[in-house]
Amino acid sequence: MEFDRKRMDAARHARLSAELRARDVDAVLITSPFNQEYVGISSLWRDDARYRDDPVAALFTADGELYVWAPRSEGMAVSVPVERLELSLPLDDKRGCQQLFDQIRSHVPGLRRIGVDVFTPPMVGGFDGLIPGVQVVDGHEIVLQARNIKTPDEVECIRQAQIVTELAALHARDSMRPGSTQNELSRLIAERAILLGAEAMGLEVVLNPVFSPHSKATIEGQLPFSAASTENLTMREGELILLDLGLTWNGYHSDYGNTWLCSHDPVATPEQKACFQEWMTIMDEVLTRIRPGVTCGELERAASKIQPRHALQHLYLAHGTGLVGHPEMPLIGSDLGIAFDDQFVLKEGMVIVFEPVVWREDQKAAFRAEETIVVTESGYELLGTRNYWPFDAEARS
Amino acid sequence: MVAQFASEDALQQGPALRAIRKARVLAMMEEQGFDLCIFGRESNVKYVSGAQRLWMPGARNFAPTCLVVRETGQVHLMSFAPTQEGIPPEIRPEHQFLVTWAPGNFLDKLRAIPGVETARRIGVDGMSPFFSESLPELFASCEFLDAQAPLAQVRRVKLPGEIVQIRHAAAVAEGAVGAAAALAAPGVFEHELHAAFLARMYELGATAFSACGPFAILDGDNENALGGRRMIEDGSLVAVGGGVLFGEGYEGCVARTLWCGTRGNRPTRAQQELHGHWRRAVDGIIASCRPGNDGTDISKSSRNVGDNYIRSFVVRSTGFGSEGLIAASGLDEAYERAQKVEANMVLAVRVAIALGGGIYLGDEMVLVTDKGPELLTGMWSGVLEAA
Repeated sequence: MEFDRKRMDAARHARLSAELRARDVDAVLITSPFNQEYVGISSLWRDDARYRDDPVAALFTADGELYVWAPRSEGMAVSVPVERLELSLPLDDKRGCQQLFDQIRSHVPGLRRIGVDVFTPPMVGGFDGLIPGVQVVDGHEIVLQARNIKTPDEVECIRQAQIVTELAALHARDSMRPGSTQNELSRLIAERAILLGAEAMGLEVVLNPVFSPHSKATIEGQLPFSAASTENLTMREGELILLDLGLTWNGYHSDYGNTWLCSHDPVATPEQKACFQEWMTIMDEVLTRIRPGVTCGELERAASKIQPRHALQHLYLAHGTGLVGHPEMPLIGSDLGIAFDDQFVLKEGMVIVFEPVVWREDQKAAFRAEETIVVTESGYELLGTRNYWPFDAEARS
Repeated sequence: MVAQFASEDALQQGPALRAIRKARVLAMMEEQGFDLCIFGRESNVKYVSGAQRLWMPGARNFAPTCLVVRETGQVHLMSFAPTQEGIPPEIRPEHQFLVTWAPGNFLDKLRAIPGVETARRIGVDGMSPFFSESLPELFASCEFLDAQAPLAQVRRVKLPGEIVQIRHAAAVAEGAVGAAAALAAPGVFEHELHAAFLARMYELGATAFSACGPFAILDGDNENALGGRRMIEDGSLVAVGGGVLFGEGYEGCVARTLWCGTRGNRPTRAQQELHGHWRRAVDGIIASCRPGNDGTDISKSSRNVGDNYIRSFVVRSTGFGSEGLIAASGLDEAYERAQKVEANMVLAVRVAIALGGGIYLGDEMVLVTDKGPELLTGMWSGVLEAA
């Protein structure tokens, strides 16, 4: 299918308008860059702190009108018609917030209920007179609900993001040798990804040696998989490297995880192959059950039957994905519990990342990878391909 | 000004620097009467804890991932992994709690922190709609107050050890942006500049950006150009800029606009004038960045540079990323009046000039000293500057 930006924008606006109408909310104020992407606003990718000054703000009404408060000389593009463009206001400041809400009132006469996705400090504690007579509701939840089901164009964005990420990652893997550093490999991934069509890095590149002298576990029995790479470590012969990274394509996020073996002559040990095989069995058992109508609980139980401890304690078997920023629903196998999983029913158009982990407590082997799928009318489709060399070497020969 | 690298400043790093920053936050809490601070913004978390957790671009929605208890003086952190990587040793495993997805579990973990249940005045740096519903469950008769404004005031005035890291960050930004600038020429694509910037950033030891751009052709009248994948044409004006996070995560940033043309071609007269106007404007603004001034003095200086070609300007405080605007075009005067300039602040200055249908965009970083402003960045604008 050919990606069509206009068609995607129109479909997303229709979904968000429908969510607003269904809840009898007149408009939603959007200051999160991820939610802004959903209504057609792309900004220069910046760090958390840099989004807070000269912030982009957007107001999307139930009738589908878009008002934008744009920053001064900071890259921004809007792919849809804008009702009115205003100058950005300082939203950490009470006066700035007051001006924003006054302008909102003048744009939407008769405003009764408004969704707000992020509360800045002046809004904390009941909006303290900022917008009297108007009921404020959870705007983030409304946008997330619209984001939950992807249109074919959104799926295409995620597929492109996955492909670019995979190619960039494999480029780095094939360049990796004992003596390679984390920064060197991150550089190879980032440079290649941007040249291949990614807009930006959507996540720090995590390249994490496990079961080596580098590892610093704080909880016994847990896989010491760090969510950061802060020391620019040098990779050593025979080390297992857990990789996690994400990139964006038209605002949509890839989530790529894999396990690499750093060696001049990478040959997986029998224990490593066994971990990988068990991981594949979990994936097969889970994926084969996916279709609309199935509950997440069924998937979680299928994984548990193969290996009760199939995910990192603090994470999950799977999470929804889409725009960058935060895992989307559903979370499967998280500490929300099996009762939550049982009541969550899969629907066509949901995009989910599965990330089971298999590891041995004797620290001889581990395997972790991530696979992204979209739920289709009759089953699922894998977005991306499988590259698990050298752990799958035998299967190929 | 190498002489400013006094040896004790360079030594004020690691645990010593973290301890002073934390003490400043606790003093702020004392002054504001906060029993507890709950931070969700990563820059505040970095300031008070020194932790470098998983980095991602964009603004995360608020979650209570860092708590500071005034009574015990202890920082408690949510961690994303069962390892100590990126978390300073003084924040021991018992001061950490692993990320959780169930609201009930989240509240239980917060409740277990000593000093939390007796807190009455709680400073926060934001709130999500979700936590604004659930946190009051935990803090029944508490008051939630703005901790962002007073903490920004603390963060704005830099310690000598911070300035050392910021000087390095500025140099890394120059190197990374310089790699993109060296590549800019007719036939090259915008995203190739972006790739060159990132590659050099990693080579120079930074692993995250504060802003990945602009890398954008500025032909025409649009100063808000979001770069993409266009090819640079002969005679184009191209903005190259960006920011990196270096050391513990201090920001360095710089930007320039370059004329990209083939041999034999020359910038137009209007294009040539752009850089001169920008230099005068940015120098005028920087000259007003001195102790005793406030945001309105900076705004005034932007109007007094002799010409009226400034399309927009932004002066913001920088450290762990932005610490709020000091002055900017179109900003409320009362807001600007409240922004005081003090010695040891580091400001990022962006000015966009519009003239003859073209735009010039450039950024500098400046350190405010008792004697006046000191420029931390410098970069050549190529042919435009030579002309």
